[in-house]
Amino acid sequence: MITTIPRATTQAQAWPIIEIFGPVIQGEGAMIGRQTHFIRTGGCDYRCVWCDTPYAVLPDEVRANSVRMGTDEIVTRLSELSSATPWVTLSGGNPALHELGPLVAAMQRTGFQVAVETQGSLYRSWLEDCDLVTISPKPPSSAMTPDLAALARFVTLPGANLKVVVFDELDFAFARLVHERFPSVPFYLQVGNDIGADTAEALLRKLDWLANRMMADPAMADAVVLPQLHVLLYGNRRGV
Amino acid sequence: MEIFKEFIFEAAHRLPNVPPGHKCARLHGHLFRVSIHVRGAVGGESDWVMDFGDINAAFQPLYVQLDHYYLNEIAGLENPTSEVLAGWICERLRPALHATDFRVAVETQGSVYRAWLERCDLVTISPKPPSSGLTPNLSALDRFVALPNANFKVVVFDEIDFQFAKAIHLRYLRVPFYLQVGNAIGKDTAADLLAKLDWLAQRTIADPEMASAVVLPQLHVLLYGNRRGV
Repeated sequence: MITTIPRATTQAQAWPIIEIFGPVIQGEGAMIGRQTHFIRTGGCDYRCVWCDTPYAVLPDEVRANSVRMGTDEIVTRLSELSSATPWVTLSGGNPALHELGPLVAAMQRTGFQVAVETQGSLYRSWLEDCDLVTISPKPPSSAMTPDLAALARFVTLPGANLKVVVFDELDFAFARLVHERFPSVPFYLQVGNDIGADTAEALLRKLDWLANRMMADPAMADAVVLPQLHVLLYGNRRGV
Repeated sequence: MEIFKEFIFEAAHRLPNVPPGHKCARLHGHLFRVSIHVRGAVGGESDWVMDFGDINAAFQPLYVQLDHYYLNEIAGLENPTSEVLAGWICERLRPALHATDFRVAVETQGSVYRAWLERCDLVTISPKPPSSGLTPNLSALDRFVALPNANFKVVVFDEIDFQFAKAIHLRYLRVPFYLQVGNAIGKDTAADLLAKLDWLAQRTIADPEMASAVVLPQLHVLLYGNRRGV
């Protein structure tokens, strides 16, 4: 005889949500220029020294800044913001810290396409249900040491693309290593952003450096170089 | 499409890095078979990816260096495994065969149709908005949207331009659509352009029918201003 044990998780799942905002224009990566809502989940397995969202990473901050929300509440909120917006982008923290399968399914049923941004440190099967997966392994300047071999599982996910933030020459060498390891995966180089220090002008100078550095390296000829448009537009404000 | 051509040559070698006693450490000979694969688009006039004669010509200088030689004595083949040999050949063929590997993108306003557009890899169609002082014939765009990787890019200076962009987007909903911030040459600073980008982003977001449009500035103008050759 088979006994089915009801899973507690199917009752009322809720996740620590830092912010839900939109519609805004995605300022970076593969979806640059496209309209999307954002859901930022709290909690992260990394502690990048230049993290631009510490309020979604450090446990005390996450406790103070997050609200636990369930699928229905989140989907209702998104529809209030605008149901015409074609995309919802899951970001963090690291959204892969959580079991978001039911949320992804509910958003897709509502008509949204789901993009996710994650560093490729924690694999979840719900990533396979997303419409676009941006994998952003953290470069040496973050002081993290990602396991590049572990990325092999991520690069076959739907719409998989790699995005590496570059602050300096060492980061660039790391980006090159990742690109050469997965040459057929669309690859984005993103200008590093020193929160509080960088003005739009400073970011554009860095973009100039990164563009020239890339063009000097034939192995990087297929990479896409981009700034963070939202930072150029609004500085390092939240909710943009 | 991928084409390939095979060559054979004979040569001697030994493998210096194999475990002690391995048979490949001893001097011996092989008939080597080289298969050169070339991938690319089938040319519109030639109906080929590349002339097999060109592959032949590219390989000949390598053939005369390899055939009936002791491979270990050739620079770069000190450990002449098949893998190293394949890499050695590929590296030397690439400059000759890769020269034809440019992908071609074209930017045109969609006013004059040419058959060669069909052979490009990506066609950007940028119908000019009312602020240009021109009045493009929208029905003429029907032929352009079927071109390879056709996409629209409309420059927007003002509300009237935005309405023009919207009319095109709604006419060809399935064609990728880019809205580009208008750039007043000699007047706009990077800050002006970013302010315009902000307006265009907000304007687009406020219009549910434009939800799939992509809003972008001209990065090169932000970077270099309105200089030529950038």
